[in-house]
Amino acid sequence: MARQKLILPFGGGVDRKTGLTVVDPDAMADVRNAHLSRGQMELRRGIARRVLIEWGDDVLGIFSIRADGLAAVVVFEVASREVRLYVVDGALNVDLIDTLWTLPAAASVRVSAAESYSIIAFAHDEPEFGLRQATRIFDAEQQTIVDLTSDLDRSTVAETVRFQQVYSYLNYLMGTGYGTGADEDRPEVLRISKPGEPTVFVPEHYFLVGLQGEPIVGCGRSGDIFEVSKPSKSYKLIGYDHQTFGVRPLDENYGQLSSRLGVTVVNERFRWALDGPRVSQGGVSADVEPPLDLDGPAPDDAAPYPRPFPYDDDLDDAFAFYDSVRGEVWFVFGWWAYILHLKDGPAARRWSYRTFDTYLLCAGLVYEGGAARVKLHMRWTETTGPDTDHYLYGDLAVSDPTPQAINSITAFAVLEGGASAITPVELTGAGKGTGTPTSNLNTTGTLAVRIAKPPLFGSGSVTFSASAANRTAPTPITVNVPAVAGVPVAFAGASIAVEDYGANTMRVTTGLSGDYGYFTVSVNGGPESGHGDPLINVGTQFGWDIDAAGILTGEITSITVRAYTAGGALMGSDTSVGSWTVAYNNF
Amino acid sequence: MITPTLYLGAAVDPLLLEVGVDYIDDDDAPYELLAQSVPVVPAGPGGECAFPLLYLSTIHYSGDVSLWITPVVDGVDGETQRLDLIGVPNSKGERVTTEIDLSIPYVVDGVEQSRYHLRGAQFQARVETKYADAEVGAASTAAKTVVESVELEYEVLRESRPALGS
Repeated sequence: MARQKLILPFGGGVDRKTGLTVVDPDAMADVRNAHLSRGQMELRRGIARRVLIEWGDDVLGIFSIRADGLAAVVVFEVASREVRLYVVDGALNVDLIDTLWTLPAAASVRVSAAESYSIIAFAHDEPEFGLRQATRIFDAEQQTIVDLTSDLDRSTVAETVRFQQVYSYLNYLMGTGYGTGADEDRPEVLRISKPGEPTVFVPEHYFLVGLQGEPIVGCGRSGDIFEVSKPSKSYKLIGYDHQTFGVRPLDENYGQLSSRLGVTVVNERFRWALDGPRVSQGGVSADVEPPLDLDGPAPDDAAPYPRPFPYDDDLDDAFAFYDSVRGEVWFVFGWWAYILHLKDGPAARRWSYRTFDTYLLCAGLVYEGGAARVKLHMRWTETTGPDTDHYLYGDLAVSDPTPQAINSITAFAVLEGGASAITPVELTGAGKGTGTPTSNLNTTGTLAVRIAKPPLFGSGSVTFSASAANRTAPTPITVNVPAVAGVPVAFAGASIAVEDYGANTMRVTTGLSGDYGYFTVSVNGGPESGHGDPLINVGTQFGWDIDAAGILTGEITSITVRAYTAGGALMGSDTSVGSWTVAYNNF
Repeated sequence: MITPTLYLGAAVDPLLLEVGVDYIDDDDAPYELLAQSVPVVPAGPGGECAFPLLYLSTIHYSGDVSLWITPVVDGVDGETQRLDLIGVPNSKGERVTTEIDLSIPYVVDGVEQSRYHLRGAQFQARVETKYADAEVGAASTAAKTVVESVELEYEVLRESRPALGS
């Protein structure tokens, strides 16, 4: 029999005699590390490190802040279990914003985030409510981050909201897994913010989705509905505002396996269900065509190393995203990924398999080429010191994304409530000396700060601000300084003693106890002396040296000592009546 | 111009990894292209064919790259052959069709006496790179290559027998 020819379906391709004859595109037994498009197969491009966050171990999330051309990056440190928020601008400058959470030992290390109206909400994606942390709101414009609070149980006290996941849909922020302050752990609840006000949640604007107690696992837009998936069922949120919103059953048999294994591409939602990838367009889901039927290594064989701690479950940590440049939907399971190639249109979709030397945790867009939003950032961390009861200790860190460009940075501690309310302020950074309320850092750095707490004054506060040439000033930080509860001042009866202490000076001593701000001394009912700190401090004996010139002539018949708070409130007084002879210039 | 660029985040190192940079390695860790076609059975199940030639059509753009082509007949790997593609700077793509002889030489005392064709019922082709193998897999990071098609030449030696009653 004569020889014949047969085209082997190799990712489509061409017949070299007949030209572009694309054959059945799904006919591949195994494809690894390839881009599949236009009936061809190309070695995929690699990944390369571009930005190093100089802290922590794992990048948990990369979230676009489209309104500001920024990206929020969430980083986790294994040893401390601290989760921090960083911002990357268009010039790839990295700026620390603040700590999001310090996670309990058993808590999952996953984060959910959603952007809405120039804020981005961060939820701790922890199914166990007792371990879940507060939902936090980051204002990219103001560079501030606060807990999300709302009085959902109408108790007149706003409670801290702890959503498990957050989503952006239309002009709403959606949150799952939180009921009210009186009934917090409600995994089936979907809450919806006020339109255009993503941080405002009205108590009655929520839906119970499906069976009570069965958690919502993942959500996303599909067609013109908002799909709400549980592990083995899906529901749909219909409508476009609070008057028309409603939840209906959607898919009785298929849900979403884990919270991040779903992605919306144009009008289609791809999600990974218990039996593999599915797709929907606002209706019941269907198997992705062609079916995922690639040869490939078993998951354990594909892992080049043991899973990095604490990521012990490939499925829980898996995620999906869409690469719009290459038209690829990625389902990533740590060391490997299944890629659905959409470039050739719905009828010619194909799967491939990719392996990585790195355990991947997230993906997201960074808006490169935009303006560098170089902004100073300031962070206050309270520390401990030798006399924490009476002094507030802390580190004031001032950072700049590009420290080599800094001309100067100056940090100021501005006392609120009057200069004497909190005094002294000591900035004890290296080479900065003490006793000055300001200090010029001249570079990115950390300043050790010690602040005297006001005794019996009520709480005070210190506001730090910073500035530098060619930089946007950071939002000032106000640190509350709690008052020392203190011991009420007490005088040891008529125990005031007076002695000659040199020319024009007399020394007044008395037995005192308690906490106070300052004392004054008056003689013969005359004006009070200046404030001044005690010069003698031996046990409970305190004394003041007073300039007697112009005050004292003749006989002293009474001496009154008055105690004041640091804020100037009279705490008490003691008067000693006696007879002391005063000689001008020679007391 | 603002360009939304896709980045990946990973465990162990707090890095942002840009997607779509160069070829052949992920942050210095090499990866390999591997593609294997589904089995074709030209003479039908139970039939037998000779498989003398493969035609590999590629478009090579830049960098140096080696492709390794392995015929798989009835599930058994045949001899792997290497195809070196040398990059041309600033090339817009050079389309090359390479004829790959699948015959096996019969050598006696160093002299080739004859050649055998691969014979069997079922055929697959595997194309791969071997960058990680330093001895054989040298390649440059700009090794952009597109595999357009693989064409098999075969000769039916025995048709499959139809099933009883068909």
